[in-house]
Amino acid sequence: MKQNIMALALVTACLALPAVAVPAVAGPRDDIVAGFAAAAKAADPAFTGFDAARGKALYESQNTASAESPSCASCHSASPLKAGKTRAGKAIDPMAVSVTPDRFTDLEKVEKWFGRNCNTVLGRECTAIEKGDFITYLSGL
Amino acid sequence: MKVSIESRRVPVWDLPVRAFHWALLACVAVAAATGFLFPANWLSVHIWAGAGVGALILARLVWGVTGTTYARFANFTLSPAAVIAHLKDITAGRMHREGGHNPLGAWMVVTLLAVLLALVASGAVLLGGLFKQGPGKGFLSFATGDLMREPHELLAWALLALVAAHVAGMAFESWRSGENLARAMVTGDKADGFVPAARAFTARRGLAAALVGIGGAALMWAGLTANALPPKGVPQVVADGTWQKECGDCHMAFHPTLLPAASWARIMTSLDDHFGEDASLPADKVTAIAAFLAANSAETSDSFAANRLRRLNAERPLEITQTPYWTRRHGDIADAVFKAAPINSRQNCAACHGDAASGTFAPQSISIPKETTK
Repeated sequence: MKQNIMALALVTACLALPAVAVPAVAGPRDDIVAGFAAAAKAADPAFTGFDAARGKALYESQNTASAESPSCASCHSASPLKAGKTRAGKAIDPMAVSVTPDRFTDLEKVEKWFGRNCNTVLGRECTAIEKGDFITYLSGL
Repeated sequence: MKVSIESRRVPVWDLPVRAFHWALLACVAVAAATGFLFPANWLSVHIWAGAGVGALILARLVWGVTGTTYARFANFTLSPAAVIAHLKDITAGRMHREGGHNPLGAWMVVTLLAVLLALVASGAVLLGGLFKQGPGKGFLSFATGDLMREPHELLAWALLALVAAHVAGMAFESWRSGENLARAMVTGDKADGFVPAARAFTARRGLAAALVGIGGAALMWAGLTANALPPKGVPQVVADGTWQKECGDCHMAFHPTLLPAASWARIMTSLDDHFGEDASLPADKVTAIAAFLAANSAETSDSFAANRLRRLNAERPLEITQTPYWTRRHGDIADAVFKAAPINSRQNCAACHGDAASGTFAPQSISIPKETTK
């Protein structure tokens, strides 16, 4: 019974949140964000929705896990509207969805880079809430 | 000491001899300038100047047995007795004006031709073995090419000394004889009254043209055929898609021949701390990339880069940019040049090495780009 309630909550979250967080047309990015919302809700029933302001704070946060890469902005450029540069000097397309429309549309790629970069910059995995906030911030610029 | 010069001019150096002389000077000057002074990316000009030297000398060897009287090697007075007699003349202040070369001059010409041929030959071996270019690329190992580096350089210095002695000897004899010998190599004639050559020859132009034409065509064909051979000991690496994609995300996909297998193995088992970055990959991709790198590591290639970079920095064996050769060859490039756009980092080989992706790193492909503003 308890499991059924959990499943219902997940389904509800999947259906409800995209409509709130992102524009009307559903697509791969909406599905990805919905997935994070479901996970966020599962981890914390008090979760109500993603917040672009929290995402911006995460993007700009200065951390101590890595001397070379203290912040997302270190490589991705202080402005997400501009191209970034890896430590090895290779260009990175701007993070803002308005400039790079295919950002956050491939779940495997999204998880690969959250996995790598959260560990490098923060020294830990990112939570589902952080991932959702991050995408919400970069989708609304 | 001046001797009287008769005013009648007599032809000595025929047109092919004069054309050969000045064309050879031009080729040698270009080869010397590009070899001694210019940066490595002038190698193609150096190669063509050297090829020109080789072709000119081969043609001169033909003309030496088919040309007019003073072009013939048969009239070169090379015997020790002639040299000793000539030296005695100089010390005694006696002057025998010669139509062709005096014995020391003849030895100078023969020595110059021999040294130049040795330079061309050693250069071709170097080029084939080291850089896998030219007609030797299909036959010569890096080690063989490397053996010729020192001889090629020593011969080049010897050539400079010989050229200086040649000009000094010409000036000295011009002063002694009152005949401007440099001018004679331009106009082709000398004032009458010299000691004529031992034997007179008429030129066999048809034979010379046939020998140069057929020999030149045969050499050209052989050279082009050899040049089309696959490079010895440098197997073609077929790029693996996973390697290209995953290793090319943050930096260029470094060619597998640029590091030994042991270094690649350590890199592929420490991706969670890849020079300070987490570069983790799913196990199946790690396995695929590791297999590709192991199968095409530096040990499998006799390329220039594989040979140069396989000696590692013992303290930092995973970094191409820390190998002794790399640091030596990039040492005079300021840190700021690497950091400025569009290079951005020492890991961006392809910014300056146009052929970096293929692992070739030919000297001709080096071009440091202009800084861009952003």
